[in-house]
Amino acid sequence: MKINKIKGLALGGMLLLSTSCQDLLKETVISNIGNDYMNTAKGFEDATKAAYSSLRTFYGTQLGLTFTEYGTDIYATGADGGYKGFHFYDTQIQPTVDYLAILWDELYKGINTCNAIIGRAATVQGVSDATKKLRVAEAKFLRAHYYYILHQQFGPLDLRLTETTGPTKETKRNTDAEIYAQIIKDCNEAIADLENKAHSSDYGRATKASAEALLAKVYLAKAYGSSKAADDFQKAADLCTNLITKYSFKLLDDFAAVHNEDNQQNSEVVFAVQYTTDQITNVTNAGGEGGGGNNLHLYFGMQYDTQAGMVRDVFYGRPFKRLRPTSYCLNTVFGERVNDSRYKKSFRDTWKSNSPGTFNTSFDDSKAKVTFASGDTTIFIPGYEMSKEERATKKYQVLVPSKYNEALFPTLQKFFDTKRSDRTEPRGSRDYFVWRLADIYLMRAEANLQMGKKAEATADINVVRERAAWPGKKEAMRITEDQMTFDFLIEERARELAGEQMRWLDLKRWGLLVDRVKKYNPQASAVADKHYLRPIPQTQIDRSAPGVFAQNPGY
Amino acid sequence: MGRANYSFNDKYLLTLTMRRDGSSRFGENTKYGNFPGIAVGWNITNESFMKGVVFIDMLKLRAGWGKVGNQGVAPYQTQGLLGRTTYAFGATGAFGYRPNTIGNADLKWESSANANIGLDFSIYRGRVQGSLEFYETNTKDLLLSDFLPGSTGFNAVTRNVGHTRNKGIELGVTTVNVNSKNGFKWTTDFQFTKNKEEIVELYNGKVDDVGNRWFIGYPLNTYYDFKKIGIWQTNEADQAKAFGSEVGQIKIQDTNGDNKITAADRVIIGNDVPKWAGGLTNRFEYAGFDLSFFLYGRFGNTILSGFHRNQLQLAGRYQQIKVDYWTPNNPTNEFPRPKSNQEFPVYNSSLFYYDGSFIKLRNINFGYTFSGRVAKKIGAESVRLYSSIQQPKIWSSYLSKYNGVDPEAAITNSATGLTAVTSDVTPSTTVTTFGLNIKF
Repeated sequence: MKINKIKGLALGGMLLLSTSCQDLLKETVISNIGNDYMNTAKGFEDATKAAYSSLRTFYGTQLGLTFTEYGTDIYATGADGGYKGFHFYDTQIQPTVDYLAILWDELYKGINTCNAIIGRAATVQGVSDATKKLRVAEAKFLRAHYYYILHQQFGPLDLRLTETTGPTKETKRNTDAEIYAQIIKDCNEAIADLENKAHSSDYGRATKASAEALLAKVYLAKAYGSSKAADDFQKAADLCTNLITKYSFKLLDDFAAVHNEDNQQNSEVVFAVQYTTDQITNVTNAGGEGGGGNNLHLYFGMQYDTQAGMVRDVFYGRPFKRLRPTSYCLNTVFGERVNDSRYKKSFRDTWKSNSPGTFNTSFDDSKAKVTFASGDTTIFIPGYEMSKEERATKKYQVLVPSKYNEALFPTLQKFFDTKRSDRTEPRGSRDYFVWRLADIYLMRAEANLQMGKKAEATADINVVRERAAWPGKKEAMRITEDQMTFDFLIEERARELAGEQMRWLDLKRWGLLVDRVKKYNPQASAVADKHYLRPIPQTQIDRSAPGVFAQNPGY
Repeated sequence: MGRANYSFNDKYLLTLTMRRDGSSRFGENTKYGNFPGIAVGWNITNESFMKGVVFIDMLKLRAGWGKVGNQGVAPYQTQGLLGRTTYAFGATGAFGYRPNTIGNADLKWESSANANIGLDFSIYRGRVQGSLEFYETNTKDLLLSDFLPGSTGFNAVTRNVGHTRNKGIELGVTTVNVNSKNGFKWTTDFQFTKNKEEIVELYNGKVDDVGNRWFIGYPLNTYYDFKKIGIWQTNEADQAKAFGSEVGQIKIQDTNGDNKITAADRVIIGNDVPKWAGGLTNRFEYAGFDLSFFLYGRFGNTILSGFHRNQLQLAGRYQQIKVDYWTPNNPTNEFPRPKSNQEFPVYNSSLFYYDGSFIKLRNINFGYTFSGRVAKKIGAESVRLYSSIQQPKIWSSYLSKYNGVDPEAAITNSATGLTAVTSDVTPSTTVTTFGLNIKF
């Protein structure tokens, strides 16, 4: 009896519940932005803007610098910082190093965003076909760009061309040939549909010129590799010719003006990653020092701020001393300084007192004490071994090459940023120049040289060299066809582009990473063939289905 | 929800429950879950055959089985969400939105089925009383964040990842050891728990998932990493070199014996689940004096020490935990030789794991209650003078040998699922109190 009653009660209770409204539990996204937003006109525009944002993780950051300038023939380790394995090629390069996964994950997020834009464009309502075409072309440029960056660093990649719409662990490594084919296809389609001008009215959006520059880089890289085709050099040269002749790009008269922070949108810039003085619009998705901004002002500085008469200030910057030029860089690459202005204009050699007083000397043993008034020279780097007697006659400390060390060295000044709000502010506002016209000239010279067209190569190199001449020395800067060797080109690129997130990619392209790093960067003698590829982030391997994603050889 | 209680003669007890829950957080067809429960009890002392057994005051056997649901996931996990990004064109901000989380339309209730059997007892007129319980909990469709390979464009997805089992025993006994006529009384509380947690099955069967550090037969939070087997010593220079290392640096176990250290050499280091834990409280009373102390211990778990990740650069630039590091004159196997040109020692992650076992003297309380006469003199009802010390002593090798902090301070990071003693925790403090209690 009792039992039956109870059963009835329970049943009644359950009936009550099961009639509860289904609609009540319908989940509508209110406090977040749901995925469908991307199918709206505004959401489609916002997705395209988002697709650009991943550029900031690689360009203008320590992360990008670590992958592109550390451990080269021209740059060796400075005193401070991490990621020393990228300088030394020792066991500190591990698949677990966080930069690997940060770069990988962030660029793949960018790629997935591009895939979504390309895949959804057809269904988006309220956007004109012309705009759709343009945004899709921008997405293809960015997708190609991200795959190019990743492919140069990691080798065979997981080539994903459609948006990830459901959770999956199935990944794969496509071949070099497949990846190059896709990057080239994307570039060509972007070139066809992007605005035919040097710069967009939204400065920093990709134009046809941006995509041509990327494709030229891609052909040049491919021309040396296992996927090379006979016409790669010619295609690269043709694209460079387009950039040199068909747009308004023009070399500035003065090499120093290229990196003048007050002249960032100059005629030499082909494509630039955008940073701003407003920190609200200066944020980086992942990997930025202090959360955003162009950080490159931090890393090339020497430790001036502990020296006599100096304290750290906004003008001289925050010297993280991550990289110091190798002696090969200073003595050979930048050895000629009478005709060529680029040593003087690339490196800071003078510091003026911002903390007057009398101090003991440190690195200059020619005197015991120095006294400075405000604005007096405190440190001078003559660039040669000035004698002790001569140094003794100077009222400041003279830093001679024999006293260079991991904390004291000529300081690359291309990226200094005096518009920062205070001396510790890491988030700089300068645009990062991904490609500039001088690089394009040197790329065409390289392609022509490889095709045996020495005269054309010489002419292009001379355009760059003449611009770099001290007044009245243009003639002396010119080289002859006989001087136009590949070794000369290798050094010319270093002279022109030192520090501009370029060198490691150059050495890799040429297949000279091991030779030249061993020869000119003694601390990196552990460099070996396996280092042409970085380790695949361990997370990519571990989180893929078991056994489907292989590590690069040797890691 | 429905519940029914039934009791017969105060001997047999039965409770039945049934609930049906719905949550908007789950997928369209899986919003509802049914969660039944049953509990039975047998008051043995109320049986007639127990009448003659005088030394037993109370004996009760109970058993239960029940299922409960868990909807402990953030909202909107069934649908993809966008995340905001920042960029600019020229000086104009260009905020964007891009896919940030991936939806899982198949998400459903996690359910835990708990079965337990227990015995409550009291003998010798309450001199010994306590309870003993065995339990087993099977959690199915466990809701967790599952890492995805970065090339998908996403970090993780929330899903029902599998089946875990917790099995254990709990014992609690209170005894009155001495209760003499002269007023001396000594009582003891003793607790003991032992739990075994293991993954029974994952979403793809009985297959380990290295990316999430989920291994069949091991607890959810298992540490999987390179294992330090020592420091390369001076006479091992050649072997060290063969492994790309050098004297004074960390020697990692070459698990697969291929003479190089790769990801394949990682092993299961341990987990954060103690093998057993126990507590002991002793109370003494005599002639107005009272004294008690509480000891608690946990044994067999592994600590992941954030302190040894963040304060162990051994590079001479930042503040540094004091450790026993290798030098030619100190050929230790504990910590590697400092080097200026490093951010961290190579394979430093092998230095993060420590035995988490500890015994803590949680508190000591000592007091004296003045006699009623004394209290009356000052017009009070009672007067007690006391002193207590909270956490006066911790015995733990992590603390004493490796300069860690409180071994109990581990917290779980919800993003990574990793339990660690992070370097921003407050070390355990010892508090000594003296007091006078007057009641009017």
